[in-house]
Amino acid sequence: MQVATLSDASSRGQELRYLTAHFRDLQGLRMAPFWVALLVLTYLAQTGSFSRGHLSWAAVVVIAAQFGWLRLGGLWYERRYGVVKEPDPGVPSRLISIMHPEAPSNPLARRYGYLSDVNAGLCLLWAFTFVPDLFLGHRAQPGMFALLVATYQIFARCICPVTDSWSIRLRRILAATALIAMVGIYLEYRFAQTNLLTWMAGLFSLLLLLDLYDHWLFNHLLRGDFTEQSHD
Amino acid sequence: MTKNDGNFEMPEIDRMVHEPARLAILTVLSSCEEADFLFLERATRLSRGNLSVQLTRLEEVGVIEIDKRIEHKRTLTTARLTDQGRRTLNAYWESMVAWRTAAESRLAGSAGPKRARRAPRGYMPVES
Repeated sequence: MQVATLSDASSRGQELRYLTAHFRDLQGLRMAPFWVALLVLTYLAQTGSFSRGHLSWAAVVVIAAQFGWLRLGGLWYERRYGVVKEPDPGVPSRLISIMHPEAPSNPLARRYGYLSDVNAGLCLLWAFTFVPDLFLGHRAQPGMFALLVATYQIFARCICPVTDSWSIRLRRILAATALIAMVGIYLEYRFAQTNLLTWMAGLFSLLLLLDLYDHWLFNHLLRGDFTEQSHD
Repeated sequence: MTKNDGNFEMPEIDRMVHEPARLAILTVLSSCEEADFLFLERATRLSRGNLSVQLTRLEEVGVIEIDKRIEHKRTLTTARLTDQGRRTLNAYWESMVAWRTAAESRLAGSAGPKRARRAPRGYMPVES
């Protein structure tokens, strides 16, 4: 009985620590609208109802709007869930290094900050370089874009420390699956000559799924009850 | 600082930390620089009144620091763990590990250890 009680408390504590340490990275709705908009543009490109030039410009507008939504989405999360200041990065080269593991003595507090303002901004600047070209088709570099997405959005999810909680483990499993699927889709595009738009639709769907799961996980971790038997 | 119940010598439990509401607050604060009142309220699921009382109590014993400031025309109340708070929480978890080890030994029917030999799976010391 004592062991079970302690174990529950420890498990819930780990979930809370994970949530606090990854507070910003679990805010999936900050990026989800971006992937939805790009999915819609990809669908429109496939139907051929708009010219590729128009869709390319629309992609530029979507990316520009995403800069604003990153800020507004962050404010929405702050208003709804509160403010958490994560540990300061241990390395000064914040602009260069996209990954800055922190709090080395507490692995659960280590984070990789891929949705920090600086890193999300860099991600969108890269998107400016590649995404409009993907819609134009002729100068597209899907390999570079896949590298960008893998680096900024998926890889960090695969390597950040996890707890015994199934929902947190599932986050890593989903990310690892997405990484493998993304490589597979890209190889198929490269060697089996899959349609570029199909490749993009698959990629954006995976990213949307990951971000929606992150938002669900954010809420799920907050829902757990640590203080059911609170007294005093 | 130990308690002897005949078979074991157990460390005393810090009751300031052991109370579930305060333990939840300290656990949240242990993995971030600071957190505001709203987040603590949602993460710990305490009522505003209870949370306020617990925060005040923790501040009185020097385990946390509370800061109130105006941001975007609204009052933002944030709390952070002090160095003493981190040490207190670490000591608490160490004592709990000792209790757990003893309880596991007792359940297994073997003689209880005098003191903790290993940290159980999932035990994470707080950053100091």
